[in-house]
Amino acid sequence: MTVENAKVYREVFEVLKLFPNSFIRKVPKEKILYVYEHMDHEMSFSISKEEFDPTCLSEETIAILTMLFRDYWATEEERKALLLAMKKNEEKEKSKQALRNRLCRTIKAESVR
Amino acid sequence: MENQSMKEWLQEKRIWVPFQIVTKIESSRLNATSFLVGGWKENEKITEYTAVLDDVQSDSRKGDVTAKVLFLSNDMKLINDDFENIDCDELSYGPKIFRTKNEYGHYFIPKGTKLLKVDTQKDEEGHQVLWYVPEVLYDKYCRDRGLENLFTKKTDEVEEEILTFSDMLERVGISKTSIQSLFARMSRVKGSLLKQYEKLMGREEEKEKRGEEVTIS
Repeated sequence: MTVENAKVYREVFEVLKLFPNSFIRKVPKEKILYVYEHMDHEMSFSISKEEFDPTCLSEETIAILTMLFRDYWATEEERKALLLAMKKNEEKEKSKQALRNRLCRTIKAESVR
Repeated sequence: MENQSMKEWLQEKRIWVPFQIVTKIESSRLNATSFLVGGWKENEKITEYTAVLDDVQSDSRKGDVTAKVLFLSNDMKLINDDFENIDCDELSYGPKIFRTKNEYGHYFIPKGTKLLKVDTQKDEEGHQVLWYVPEVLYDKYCRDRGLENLFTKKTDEVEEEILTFSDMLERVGISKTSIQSLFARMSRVKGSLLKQYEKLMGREEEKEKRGEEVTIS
């Protein structure tokens, strides 16, 4: 386990603490316990409902929350919508990357000439 | 004492030490050679029992692992006979639990108890050490680790109502802007990152691989 992961798990744990028990209980306890056992206990960090700002959460924390949402919290409709949006965004990202690569190759070819 | 409920019994005890099972994993088959049972820490003295797992059988399809347990007290005396006079308690919050005391008046968890794996470590000799807690004590184990907020029921909570995730976030006081922002970020999560954490924490399809549990039979 890396230090970075320990921080991520701590962040996830703090977010989960905001959620009502009815939602937490949908997640297998083993998973919650995994987060707890691997998180950074020394880190001074907490999130309040008022301060909850998803833009400040790490990408890794969002990934874990996404996994929990997809597997335990989302309705069938929400799950489908999420998967579709993820697919679209990944495709968009891929085509952007392809465009960047093509641009790089063109610039390289130009500079050789 | 004999009529004491499990709940009262738990309350009476002060510190609970989780079970430890020392195992050697050979060819993906659980081959447990020794079994240390942590007891209750009473008067600063941890009562420990050593037990040998005998006739270990694993069902690779379900992942079930069962074993006969020969319990030895600290002086290595076989104390299995104590299990014959077990006292049963029907719990209001869990399955039937058997509890018993040995000749020294110490409590221990007898056969028939389902154990849930909570951690995996390696000891100094490189043996894999699996930490188990009895299923009925799982909540207490979590509470002891400060997880009570996650596992105890809040009285003001409306349990029966079915809420969607966004309704729930709104209900707990998270602003709509934050909810939208959370969904936007979730939809942009990279598949590779998701897979990485699925691997670490286990995928839904693989969840509750029964290998995570051991039943003392």
